[in-house]
Amino acid sequence: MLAYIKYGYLEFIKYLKLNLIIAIELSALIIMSIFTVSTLNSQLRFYEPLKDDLTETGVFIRPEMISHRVTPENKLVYDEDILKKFPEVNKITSFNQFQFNIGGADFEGKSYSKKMIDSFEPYLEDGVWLSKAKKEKGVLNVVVSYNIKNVDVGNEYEGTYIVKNNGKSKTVKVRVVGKVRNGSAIFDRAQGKDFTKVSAYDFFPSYAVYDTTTIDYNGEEVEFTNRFVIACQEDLDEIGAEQHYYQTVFLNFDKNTTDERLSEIKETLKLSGDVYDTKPMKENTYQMIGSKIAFLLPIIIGVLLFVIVTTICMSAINAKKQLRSYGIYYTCGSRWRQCIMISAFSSLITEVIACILSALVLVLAQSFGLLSETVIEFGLWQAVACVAVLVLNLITSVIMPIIIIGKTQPREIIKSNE
Amino acid sequence: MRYIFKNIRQFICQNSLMFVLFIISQVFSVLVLLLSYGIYMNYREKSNQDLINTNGMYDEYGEPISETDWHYLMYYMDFSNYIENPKTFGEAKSSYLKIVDYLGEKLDTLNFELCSHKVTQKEADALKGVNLSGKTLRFCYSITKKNGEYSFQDTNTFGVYEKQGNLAEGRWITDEEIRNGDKVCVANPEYFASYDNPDPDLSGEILYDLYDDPDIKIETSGEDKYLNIRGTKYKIVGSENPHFNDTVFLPFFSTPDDFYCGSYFEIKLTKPLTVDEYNGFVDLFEECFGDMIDGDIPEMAMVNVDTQYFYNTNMWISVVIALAAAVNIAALFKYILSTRRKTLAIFKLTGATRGKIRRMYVTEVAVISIVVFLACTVMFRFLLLPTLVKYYPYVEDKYTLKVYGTMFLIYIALVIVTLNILVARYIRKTPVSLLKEG
Repeated sequence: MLAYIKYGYLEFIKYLKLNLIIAIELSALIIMSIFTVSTLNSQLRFYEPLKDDLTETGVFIRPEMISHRVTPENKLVYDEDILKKFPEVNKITSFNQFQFNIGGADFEGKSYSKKMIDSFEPYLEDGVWLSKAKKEKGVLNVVVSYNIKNVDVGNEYEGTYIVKNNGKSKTVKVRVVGKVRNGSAIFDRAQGKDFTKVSAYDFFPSYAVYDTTTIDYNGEEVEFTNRFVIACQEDLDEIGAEQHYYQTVFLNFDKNTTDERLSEIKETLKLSGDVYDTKPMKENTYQMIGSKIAFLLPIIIGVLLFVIVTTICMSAINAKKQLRSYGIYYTCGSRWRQCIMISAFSSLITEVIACILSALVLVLAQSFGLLSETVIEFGLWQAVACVAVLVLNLITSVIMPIIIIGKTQPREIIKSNE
Repeated sequence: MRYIFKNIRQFICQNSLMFVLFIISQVFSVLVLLLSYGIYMNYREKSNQDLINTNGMYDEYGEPISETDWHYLMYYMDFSNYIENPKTFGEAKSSYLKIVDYLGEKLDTLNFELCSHKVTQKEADALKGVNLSGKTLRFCYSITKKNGEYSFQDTNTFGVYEKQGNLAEGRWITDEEIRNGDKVCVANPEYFASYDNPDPDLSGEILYDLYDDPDIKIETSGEDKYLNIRGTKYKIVGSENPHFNDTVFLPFFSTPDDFYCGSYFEIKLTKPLTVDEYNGFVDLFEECFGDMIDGDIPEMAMVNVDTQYFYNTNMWISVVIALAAAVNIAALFKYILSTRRKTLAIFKLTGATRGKIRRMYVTEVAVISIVVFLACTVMFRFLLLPTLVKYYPYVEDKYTLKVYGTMFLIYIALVIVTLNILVARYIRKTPVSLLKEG
């Protein structure tokens, strides 16, 4: 084994320039595979957060908010309202609204569950997302919309909220940890009119906001704030803030809930608002994913073919260059198999350099902000793609010498002009 | 020249594998170049077409207000500086028409108001929050463009008024009368009759200040009634329903130039504007009326950031592929050069200059590249493009002869420059070192 490593290293040094070019090519392929997988992943961005909610037996409700359309006993405002009535419910995912004021200015408050915050991060103009912000006791972390003037990321302000079941205002120290980029998708109510055709993607509309405008509407002056804060539902519960459902509630039930009981629950829920099964939503989501992946197909096929062709090219050049060396090794007692092992180890050293090079390039690109307006990220699947490229390169570097050498005699190889 | 073809023949015969790989690398480079252009143009066109339609206005239940979707480009534009920076109609007339011209077929109506005199702050404050229905004097205008001609009759505003039965007597002003600048109008003479007897429930002093425009009177001549505005007589051809008796409609081209632009300015569209069109409109509007608005014109909703980032990533993929393909071609050709080192040494020994040798090799690759490019273009145009259109619908008409020609020139130029550098460096070696290489 050590001999293979030694001779592999020597071969690498002997054709250093060529091997460095191959390393550069390989790092380009690694980077390209990371980009391609990131592109693919980005299409699933809106499915992942709601994956566990869109089940075969789950239910989606749009609780009625207009008081005269629903009786008090049927009004669904908090999780407790649902859990009290339907103990079979084992999971609730909702989009909540709360009233909030920072420094005298009213904001539309949007609150997400911790699970939603951990699984979905909107694109930010500045700062960090709630999942990455440091938590401090007595301080409420929030992310604001981009159009907030005089509120800077990292600073603390005094916020006012309504206390739950009390109606009174209370203040809390607020830290603005991030600003959402204008036009970025955020988790929100689905704007679709036909909820039988809605998919997970409709719950992540692109939210564009404007400065405050005072509009004459129906003869009354109404100030539209068009600015929001996002907070964690659990954090708001900790401070006792009032937050209620806002037309988006996903329910999932225990596995042993019978069909009859499920039907009963749905009928009861209909008194509280519009009720839809999540199964069609799941199917619609899969269709959406299918069409998005189909859209990427030309790019994926192109990249795959390119990776294969490039690795073959590089391995072919390498093998051709090292042919003479193989001939000499064979003459000195090695077998072709051992020559191929030497080639493989030389290739392995090239791959290590390629990995270091690609990591360097990506880090530099990130620090110069070149990747800031892209969907590029590094995760498990990107790592798998990188490994696949390296394995493919290794395989071709083993196969190409076999093809090129073929049934050729070592004497012919040494005597040839190449 | 004969050495070029001889070299190509030798390349194919002696290094078939390398030749095939060389051709494949070139094919990839060309296809990536063509595809990247298509993806970019598709994205540009898509982002130009996509218009997020909301101005962010929602009712108390969080539902978007339908009137403020893309149909209304500006919904009660707040000309809040119209008092401090008043513009006369004479100054603004051409601007209104410029905006109508710019928006063209996408304009449903441009609606605006004028005041017969310069409004004071006191008057403007009095108008706010007080229901002065029936007591305000408004000069309303509505313009559009149909079949290349300005139309005033065929506007949503007039259409709505007609449907609502706003006309109590007579008729509306015709487009011909407006274009000819005829001195006609639609007004309610009864309004002016009550002018001297204002509603005692409202603040009399403010009203007298507000409506104290002695230059506007009703005159009668036989059966005809006229609205006399500072000596100019407009024949009243129709009068409005008493409920709307505060509105006066004068022809656009015969309205006195010394009227002032009012606070109301509204644009209704028939189709959504693209992002480019909206940005052009904003520039034009700021040029014409910029000093009358307080603050900035509402921003266009951003193109979906997720889509933008997605396409940026695709462009990066294309860039990386293009670079990798270029390195591939260079590496392959360098290998080919190394197999010809003995031939090269002999050329040098027999007197061939570096320039000749360089031109020979570069021309050899250029010939191969031209053939490959042409073949790939044909293949792309007739085989790949019809399939691509399914995924990228906006690309089909983007690939013109000019585009292909430009890409060809860029590609060949890059190949020639890169290989010139590569070959020039290689042929610097002496014949002895070339022969010794192995």
